[in-house]
Amino acid sequence: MAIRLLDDATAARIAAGEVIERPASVVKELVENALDAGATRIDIEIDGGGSELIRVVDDGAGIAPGELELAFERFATSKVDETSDLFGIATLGFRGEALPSIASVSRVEASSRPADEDAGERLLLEFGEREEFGKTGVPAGTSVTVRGLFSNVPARRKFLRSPGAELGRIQSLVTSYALVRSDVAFRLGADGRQRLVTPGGGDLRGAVAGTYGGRVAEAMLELPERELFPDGGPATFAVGGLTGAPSISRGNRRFITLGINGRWIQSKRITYAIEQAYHGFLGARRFPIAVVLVRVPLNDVDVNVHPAKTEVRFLREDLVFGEVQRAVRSVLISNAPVPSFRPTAPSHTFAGVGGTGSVGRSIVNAPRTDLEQNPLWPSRNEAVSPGGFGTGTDSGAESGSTEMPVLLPGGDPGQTQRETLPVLRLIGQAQETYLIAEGPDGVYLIDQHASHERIRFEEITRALNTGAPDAQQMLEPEPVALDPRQEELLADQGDLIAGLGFVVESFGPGTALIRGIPRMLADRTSTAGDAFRGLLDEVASGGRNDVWRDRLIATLACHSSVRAGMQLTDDEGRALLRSLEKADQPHTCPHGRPTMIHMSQSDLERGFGRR
Amino acid sequence: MWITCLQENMSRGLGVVGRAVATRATLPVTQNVLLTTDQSRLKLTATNLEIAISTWIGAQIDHEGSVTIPARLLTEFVNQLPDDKIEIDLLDGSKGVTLECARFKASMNGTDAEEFPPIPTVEGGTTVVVPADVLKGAIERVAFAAATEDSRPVLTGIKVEIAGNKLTLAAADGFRLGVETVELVAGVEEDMGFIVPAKTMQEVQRLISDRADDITITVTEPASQVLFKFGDIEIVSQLVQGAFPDYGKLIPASAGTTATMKVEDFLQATRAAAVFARDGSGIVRLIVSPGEDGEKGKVTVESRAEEIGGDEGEFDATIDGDEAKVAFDSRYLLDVLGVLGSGTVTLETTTPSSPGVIRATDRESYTHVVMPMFVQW
Repeated sequence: MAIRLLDDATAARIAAGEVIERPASVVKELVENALDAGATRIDIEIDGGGSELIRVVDDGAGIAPGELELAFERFATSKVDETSDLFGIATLGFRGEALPSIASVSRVEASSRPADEDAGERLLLEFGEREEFGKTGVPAGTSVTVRGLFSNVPARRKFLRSPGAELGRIQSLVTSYALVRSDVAFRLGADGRQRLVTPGGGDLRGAVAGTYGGRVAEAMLELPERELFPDGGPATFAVGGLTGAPSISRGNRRFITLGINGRWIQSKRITYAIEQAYHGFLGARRFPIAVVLVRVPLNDVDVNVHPAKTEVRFLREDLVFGEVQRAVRSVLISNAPVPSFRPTAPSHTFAGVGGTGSVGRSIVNAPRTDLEQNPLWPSRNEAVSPGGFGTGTDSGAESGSTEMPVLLPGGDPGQTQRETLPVLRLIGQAQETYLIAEGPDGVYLIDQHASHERIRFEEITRALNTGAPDAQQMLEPEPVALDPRQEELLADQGDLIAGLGFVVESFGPGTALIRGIPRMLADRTSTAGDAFRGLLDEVASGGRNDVWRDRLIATLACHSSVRAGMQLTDDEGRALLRSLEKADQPHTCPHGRPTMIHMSQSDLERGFGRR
Repeated sequence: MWITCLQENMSRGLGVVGRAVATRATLPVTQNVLLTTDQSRLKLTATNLEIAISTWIGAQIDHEGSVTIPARLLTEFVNQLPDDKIEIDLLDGSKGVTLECARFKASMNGTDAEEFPPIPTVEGGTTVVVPADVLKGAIERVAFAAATEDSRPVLTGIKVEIAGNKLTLAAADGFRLGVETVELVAGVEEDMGFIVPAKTMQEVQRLISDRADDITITVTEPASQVLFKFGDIEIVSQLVQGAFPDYGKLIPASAGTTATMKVEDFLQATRAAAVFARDGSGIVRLIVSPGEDGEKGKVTVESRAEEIGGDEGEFDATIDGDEAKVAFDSRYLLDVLGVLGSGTVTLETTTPSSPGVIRATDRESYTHVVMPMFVQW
C-alpha cells in the first residue's frame, strides 16, 4: 500500500484519541474550559454513562461573537499567546486540542453568550463538520452538549465499559474538581437523578458534604493553611485543605484528592506523603479521605507533561512532599488521641545487646513470597512428633487442650496441605498487638489480628460451604450512600454479598439500606455502613470474578477480627491460640502476611551467646 | 501536722475515687489523687478527664492545703495500715506528704495540686432527685445494652430523658435496646434529654451500693456536664454529644404472639442451649407453641452446632396467639434474662424477622427489644 498523508478528518480522529479516551475525558475538558472561563456554577448532565449525552453548562465569560466556530479549530486557544507563555500557566487548558477533538468523534451542540452581549451564538457540528450556525438567545455563559460520543469510531466505542462504570469515572472526576475548586458550585446529574451538588463559594466542608456525604464532612479535620518561605521569598508556598479523621478511612486511594494552584492533579509521591502521615493511625490497606490543596509559585510547576494534564512536575518536589506530610501529620496528632501503638519498620534483628553482627540474624528479612524457605518458620508439612509436645510444655491450666490439630469437616484434605502448628502455651500479650507463646521449640510472636483473620477466614469459608449465613438483624436499618461503581458491584455481586450475611435492600438512587449484618461483625461494630463500604471498596479495587469470593471473605474476616491495639485477656489469648492450632494454614493471614515469627531454641541460644 | 484522719475512712474514700484514676498516663498527674482540705473535712478527688469522682472524709484539719499523690501508691499503702489514726504532713512546697500511723512512717512524693486538671463545676442548670435504689436498679437493667465499642459514640451512652416527674433511661448497641422509666422524687417543669456515658452510669451504680439516700442529678445548661450527688460522693462526667436514635419507634406497638413464662425456666433452657451455641454461631432458636384444647402452651429452645451436636429444651408457658418461631443470639437473651432475676417475663414476637420484646410482668416500666437473627428454618 502506498504511503500518503492522512486526510484532515482521519488525522483529527487519531489525534482525538490522545485527549479524548472516554466520556470522562470529555467531561474533564469541558469542565476545565468552564473553570478557565471563570464560571461560579457548573452543571453537568450525563445520560447512558456519557455515550448518549454529556452536557456541561456554565455561567462563565462566554465566547465572544464570531469566535465560536474558531474554538472548534485545532490548536485554537485563547489561553496562550506564544511558546514562552507555556511556563507560568495559570489556566487549566491551553493546548487548543480539546474542542476539535471532541467534535471530531461526536455530534456537538455549543451555544455561548458573554454577559455583555444581547444575543449569543449557536453551533451544531457532526463529526467535526458544521451543520448549523446562527444567532440565538441563550443565558450568559457557555453550554456544550455532546451526543453519540465515538459513534463514528466503533473501535473506541467497543472499549468503553458499562454505563455504570463510565459514570463512576465521571463522578469521581467531577468529585475531584468540586473538591479542589470549592469556590465553584458543581452539580452532576445522571439519567435524571442528582449525583452530587456542592455549594460553591469556597465552602470546602460543604463540598465534601455534597460529594462524600455529611458524616464524612463532619469527621474532616482542617489543615491550617500555613505559608512557607523557602527562599525567604514571597509567601507563595502553602498547604491547606481537609483531611479525614482516622475513623473514616477507606479501602483504596480514590478518596485522596490533590490540588495544585486550583488545578486537580494526581501525584503518586504526594499521595504517598499523605499516606505516610497516617502511618500508625490506619490499619494495613486502609487509606484516608483527604483533600489537600497546595499553592506553589507558577514557575515552580510544569503542567505540560502529559496531554491529560493531571500529572505535573515540581521544581522542588521534596519541599512539597515534606510540607504536605508535616501538615497532615501534625493535624492528626493534635486531633486524635490514638493509642500510642505505632508499628516500627521491620528491622528487628535479635542480635543480643552488644552482640556482633555475626551473632544476630534477621528474623523478618525473608521475602514474604518465600515463606517456605525461611528457616525460622516451620516448613509445610514439617513433621512434629507428638512426643515433642504435650508433655511438660503445657501448663495445668490448659489440660485437655493438648489435642493434635484435627482436620475439620468442610476443610478439603485433598487440596489443602496442612501446615501443622504445635500446641502453644500463652505467655502474654505485647504492645496490645502480639501474643507471646512458647512451643516445644522456642518462642513464637503471634500477630493477634493476622492470626484471628486467618481463623475467621477459614470459619467463614466453612460456614458458607455448609449452609446459609447467619445474619444479625439491626435495630435500625442503616442507609449507606453508594457511588455508581459500588452500586453496580452490588447489582452484580448481590447474591455473593447476601451469602456472607448482609441483608441489603435498595433504597432509592445511590443508597442501600442495610437491615442485617454477618453475625460475627456484630461483635465489632454497631455501624454496618463502614464494614459494608469497606467490602465494596475492596472488591472495587480490582480482581477477577473467581477470586472475588475469597476477597470478600478475606475482607469480612478482617473486619470481624480483633485488631492491633486491643487488649486481650489471657482466656481470649488462649482461645485464639487454640483456634489457630486448628487452622488449616496457620502461618499466613488471608492477605499473605505472616501470622507469626518463630525464634527457635537454638536461635535464642545463639542470640544470647549461650553457644 | 497537716491533717489527721482514720485509716478506715481514708481507705474507704480512696476506694471510692479509685475508679476514676486514669489507667493510661496520657496526662501523668491524672494517675494521682488530689487531697484538699475543705472546711472541716478532707476531700479526695480523682479524674481520668472523662469522669471525676470526689468524696469527703472526716478529718481534723490543722491548716488549709492540698497536694496530689500517686493514687495506687497511696491506696495500697493505706490499705496495709492498721485501723488507727493517720497523721498526714505536707512536705515543703506541697511536693509530697509524710504519713504516720501507729508505728508506721512513710513519705511519698507527689506533685503540686496546681497541676491537677480542674474539675468542671456544675452549677445552675437543671436538677432532679431520684431514689438511689430505684436508679441503681434501672441502670442495672438498661446499661448492658449500650455499645462497648465506639464506632457510633452516642450508642456508648445512656440516653436520659426527664419529663415532668418521670425519668427514662435508654441504651442500645445497634442490635438491642433497653428502656426503663422511673418516678422522680423531685421533677422538672421543662422536659430535657442528654446522653451520659454508660461507664459513668455503671460507676454511679457501683457507688450507690446499699446507700438508701436520694440521688441529685444536675445538668449544665447547655448540656455538656452532668453531676451525680449522693451521700458524700460527687461524680462529674462529660456528656456524649450527638443524636440518640428515636427509640420509641423501635418498640413494636403490637405483637402476634405473646408468651408468658418464668424467668428461671427461660434462663435455664437458654443457658443449656447456649452451651452448644457457644462453639457455633451463638444462635438459639425459639419455637413458641400454643397448647391445644385448653392445654398449657410451651416454648422450645434449640441450638445446633455443626460437628458438635445440639440441644432441645422446653418449658411451660402461657401463649396468647399463634405458633411463632424466632432465632436470637444467645448472649443477648442471657444478658437480659440475667438482670430480670425472678418472677415472670413475657416475650412478644410476630414473625421470624420482627423484633422480640421482653418485659418483666411485675415491672411495666421496663422494655427490652432484641433483634432476631436471620436463619434458615
